[in-house]
Amino acid sequence: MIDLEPVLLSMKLSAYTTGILLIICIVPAWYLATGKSSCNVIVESVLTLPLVLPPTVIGFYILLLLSPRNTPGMIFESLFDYRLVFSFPGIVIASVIHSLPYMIKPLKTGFESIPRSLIEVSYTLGKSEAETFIKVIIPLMKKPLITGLVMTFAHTMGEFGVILMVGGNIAGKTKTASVAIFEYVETMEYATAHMYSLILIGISLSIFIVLNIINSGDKKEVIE
Amino acid sequence: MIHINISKKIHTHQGIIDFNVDKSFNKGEFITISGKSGTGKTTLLRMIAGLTEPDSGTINVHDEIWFDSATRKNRTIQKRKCGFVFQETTLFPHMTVLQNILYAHNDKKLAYELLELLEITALAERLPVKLSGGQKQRVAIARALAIKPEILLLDEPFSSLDMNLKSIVQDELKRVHERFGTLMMLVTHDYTDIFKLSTRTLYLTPGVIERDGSAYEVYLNQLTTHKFSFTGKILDIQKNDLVYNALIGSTHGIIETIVTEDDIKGLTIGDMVLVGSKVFNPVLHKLGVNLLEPDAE
Repeated sequence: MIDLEPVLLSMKLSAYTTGILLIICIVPAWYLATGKSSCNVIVESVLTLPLVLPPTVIGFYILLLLSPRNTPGMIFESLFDYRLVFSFPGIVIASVIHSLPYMIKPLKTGFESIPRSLIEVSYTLGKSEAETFIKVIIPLMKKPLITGLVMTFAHTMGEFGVILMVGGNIAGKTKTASVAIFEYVETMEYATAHMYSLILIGISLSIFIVLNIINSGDKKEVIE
Repeated sequence: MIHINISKKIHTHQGIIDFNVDKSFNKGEFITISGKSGTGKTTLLRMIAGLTEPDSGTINVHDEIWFDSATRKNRTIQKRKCGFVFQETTLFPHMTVLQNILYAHNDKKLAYELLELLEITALAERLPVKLSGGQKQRVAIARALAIKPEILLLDEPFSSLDMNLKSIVQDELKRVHERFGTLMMLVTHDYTDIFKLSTRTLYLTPGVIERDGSAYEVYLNQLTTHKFSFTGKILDIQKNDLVYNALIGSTHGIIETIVTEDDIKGLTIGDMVLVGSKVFNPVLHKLGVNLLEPDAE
């Protein structure tokens, strides 16, 4: 019987990463979409960097950052008496950084697609920026939000290089499904590697089928 | 009394223009604003609503200062109580017609009163996607009225409607104006709006209000005293023996009238005319200002 722990760990990591990114990305995505500051281009470029950088590069620097030999890791360890490298919280941090563009990009595009006049009309009706954001903007963001959630979850399920660099391969803590596949291929246990691979393919395929079903709702005829 | 004395540099297709307004308006007036594109019509409405900030000047509404560049006072959009109906649809797509109106002011009795006034009660539970263009704009007007605005600003809300529909919405707007007496300011390119609705009309050239007065004063060379009159567009002119048959399209439908050679001097197909009758004979007056072109501000 195949050990499902790595798969469950991957799902747990994906859920944590997606949840955290959802909370921390909404406001920055809004400012990137609507802000007029010239710094936005630089901020957006930095936030998009994980899309093109090799995971090993990101993983290497996150490893250095979280290491107790360096200041951030040292401070964290002295404050919370907890070592982030080679731990589950450590790979969550790494995964959040690496998957950030997958959440922020669809949200930014979604915010950009909302007509400015809808927001302005809400202001003329006496509604504050916060009320307009919650009652007008967020409900119109249903599709971009779902896209962001699904893309982030799916991307994190397949996360490998960053996790291996920051978390290593510790069963029950950092050994996710993709790390397990690597291990079984290395030890030439192809049958087990196949099993994990098929599970990951199945999960990813299901996610995209669901996403496409949701998006196909757009194609309904609009009666004028 | 509303007094507006503001200046702003506006970027238009023709370059930067200096926009200056110094005018007073009274409660109960129905002001139509027209002029070619790039003259600052929409910007004027936006500055009154607080959506665009003037460079300098004052906006004083019933002795309350909404904007004063000298004291850096600028009342927020939310506190100005200006209903704004945009050219494009601005109904919240995830809310029904009723919810759109209740979002402005959570008062069901008032919402149904407005729905009834604009004859859209049957649409209360529909989503905006299931409405026609005319219905959408009527809902937008009802929603803007729900805040009981000091000023209702309408930026070409009828531009996408066909003539029949436009006529219906015009009638409703006129009824709304009579019922509430709100100061209304309507940007339009359509003579039927100007002659049917306005108590006063402004004609803008780039940056300035060139003419200010009644529709007749602004658009006709002299005041006329017709038994009846309406505006329309010449669709066709055909010679019929000694006289001519002119086909005129208006919101009332298509009218054929007999005119003399003198009457049609200077008139061509497509011209906007005022059709009036003193006793029996309809007379045609070419409207003073050239046909207004669609706004591209």
